[in-house]
Amino acid sequence: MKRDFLEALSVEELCQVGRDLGIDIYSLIKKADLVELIFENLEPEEESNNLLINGEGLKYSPARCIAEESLESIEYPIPERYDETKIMLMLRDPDWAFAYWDIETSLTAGLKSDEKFSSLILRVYDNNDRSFYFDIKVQFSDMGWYIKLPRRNSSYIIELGYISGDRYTVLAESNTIYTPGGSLAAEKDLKWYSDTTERLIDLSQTGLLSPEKSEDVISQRIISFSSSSYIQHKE
Amino acid sequence: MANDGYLAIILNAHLPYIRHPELKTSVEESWLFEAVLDTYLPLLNLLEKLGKEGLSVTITLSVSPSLAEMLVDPLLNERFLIYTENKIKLTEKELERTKNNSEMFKLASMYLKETKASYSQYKDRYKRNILNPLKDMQRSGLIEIITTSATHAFLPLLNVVKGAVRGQIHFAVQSHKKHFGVKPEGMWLPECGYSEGMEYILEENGINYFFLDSHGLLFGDRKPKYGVYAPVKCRNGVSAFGRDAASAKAVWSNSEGYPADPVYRDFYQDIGYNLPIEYLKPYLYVEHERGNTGIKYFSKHAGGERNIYKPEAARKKVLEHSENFIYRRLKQMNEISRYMDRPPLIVCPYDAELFGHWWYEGISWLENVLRKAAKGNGIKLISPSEYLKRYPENQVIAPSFSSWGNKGYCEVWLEKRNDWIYRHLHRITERMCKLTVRYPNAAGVKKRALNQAAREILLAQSSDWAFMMKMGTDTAYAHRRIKEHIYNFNKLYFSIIADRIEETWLAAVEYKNNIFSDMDYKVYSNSTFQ
Repeated sequence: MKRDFLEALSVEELCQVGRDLGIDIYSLIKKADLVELIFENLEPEEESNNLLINGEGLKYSPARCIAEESLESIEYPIPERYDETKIMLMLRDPDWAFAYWDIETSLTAGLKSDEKFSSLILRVYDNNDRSFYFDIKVQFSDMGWYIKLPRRNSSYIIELGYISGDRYTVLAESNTIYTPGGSLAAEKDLKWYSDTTERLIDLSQTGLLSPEKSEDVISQRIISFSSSSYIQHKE
Repeated sequence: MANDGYLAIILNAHLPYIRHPELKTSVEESWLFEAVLDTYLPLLNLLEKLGKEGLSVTITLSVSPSLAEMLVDPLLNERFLIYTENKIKLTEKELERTKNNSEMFKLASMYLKETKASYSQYKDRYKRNILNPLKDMQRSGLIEIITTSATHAFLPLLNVVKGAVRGQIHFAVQSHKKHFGVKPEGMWLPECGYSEGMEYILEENGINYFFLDSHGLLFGDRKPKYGVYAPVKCRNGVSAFGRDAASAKAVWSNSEGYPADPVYRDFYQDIGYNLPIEYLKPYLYVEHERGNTGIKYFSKHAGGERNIYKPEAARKKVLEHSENFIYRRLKQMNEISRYMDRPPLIVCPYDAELFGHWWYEGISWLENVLRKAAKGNGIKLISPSEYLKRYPENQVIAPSFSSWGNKGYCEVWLEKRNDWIYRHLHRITERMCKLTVRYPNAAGVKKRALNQAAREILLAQSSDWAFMMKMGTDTAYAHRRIKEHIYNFNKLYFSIIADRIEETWLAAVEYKNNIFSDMDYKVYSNSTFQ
């Protein structure tokens, strides 16, 4: 169980765990060896965790910790990206999506040294009809991309891949997103539809502030009471 | 027909979790104090007054879990008193400074009276706990209290990772039960942000209804028979109410909305920004830091001139505006009724802090609107739950992905200034789910670390950070906060796996980011992480 869990981690994650355990990790270590090394260094019974630190911790009251550590002065370094090969797709509105991705460092290095490599590709599929797709060329330095989707009422999936020679290889596949129609449905609900429905829908749309025609702009959650804007201003 | 129609007023009270015990004071904490002083206390006062008069008034109040947690936090309660005492002292000094200007002097006297009354309302009447009177009001039927996602996360952008929305909803409901003693019937989806399938997570957590922006309901998979003037049911039976655009515009619109009237007090002309820092110094909540004091002497600019604020004129205008609001709703209801076989329902959701804080006269406006509606001249105030009791049969429609943000979808929370955060928000949630599967029954320090990891996730997910980045207000703070929570999470993640948890550090982080004291990380175990 524990070994399985370690094996599912990325190399970057394993290195971090290794460093936390005080293991000296040399740069060319294989993943399997790293898992083995960490596995050997972990305490055998996890529930007895932190015995050493446990006792020590009791001497500290939170307030003392705060005073001693002065949390306000801490900087919070976070990774720019993660060492995993992965792509995610998010729907922004009925016509646009945002994709972001990561590629494992070792993979990037391999691709860069591949003489036949020509480019990284985002391949956007209409999920209802996989024969319909289009490609977007991206750079190694790119991390995310806004994509105009051709059809509403459809579903999309993106592959992150590359072209080497004349061969296309998939690196990762995204989650699926569904684009809404963003307009009134054509379908009438026979049980509920009546001759007044159209009129009520018209009335409901009187003064509709959103979507898409919201020039004068509606509510937004306020945040800064100290700064300039309560209601969102025009873009 | 007994009524021309029903009016459901929904107020959403929310502030991000901005408690800073590591600092003596912080600018961000004063956001909370301003909201308590300007909006929450006056609103409670108003509702208590209407309740005592026995008026048939019902409004729906969404109290965000992050706000509720802060409102009963002893440290913040203590600091609120200090903040208010400072304000009282400053206002007293203003009486001296303005003694030769009778109009300003009158205003300063009015502020002093108001602030002293609020101070006593908070300290003596409510014993520092403003959730208690809310509970009483819910029991008496004056308000229906609902919740929103745990840290006001904008859910459609988290809905791509399993566990993220579930965590936000679960901890919201749990926190609501803790603070209000009963489970919430309804959920205010932050920013009306809805995406496909969320209703199932709401159902799992016992939520009966939620709200959509107009197009979320209108653009569903079938045409809604009643437009937005009756709720619909999702396939699983959870009800969805659509916002009325016309009444939203009347209040919210920057150019046409009531608050834009030049007679009203100008929010931006505050002595905290206008007077010399030396004068203000002894009374500033944060040393050397200018901020809103709430002491404002001018009305909105009219033709570039600064006019002294005239409360009498504003009061007349408020009356006019509230009459206009009711008149327009009645007119709207009469028109709509012609096409309906039941009374129309008009749903008006607003951010609570608009009233009293930004729109100083907003509470009086609300009072007049509620009074007029309570008199029963064709409008009946109703809560969503009560409406559903009367009209349980509703059309089944799958709502559309939508929000009430600019352009109606996710563009406010997903654009070039804030899109970088999602890589982290998604990744840490996936890591949390992995940890939970890996450590299903942790005890001791490991359990504490796992619970704290879950808190850090929720705090990172707050939509406020993305919003601030987009708006360019308090951007540095927003960056810092989101990085802090991602950093803390990742540090916990690795130290949990390595079984090397630094307990002193953990204790410090628990002390600092102490939201949701009864956290149980196991909630994330329901979510597989493939």
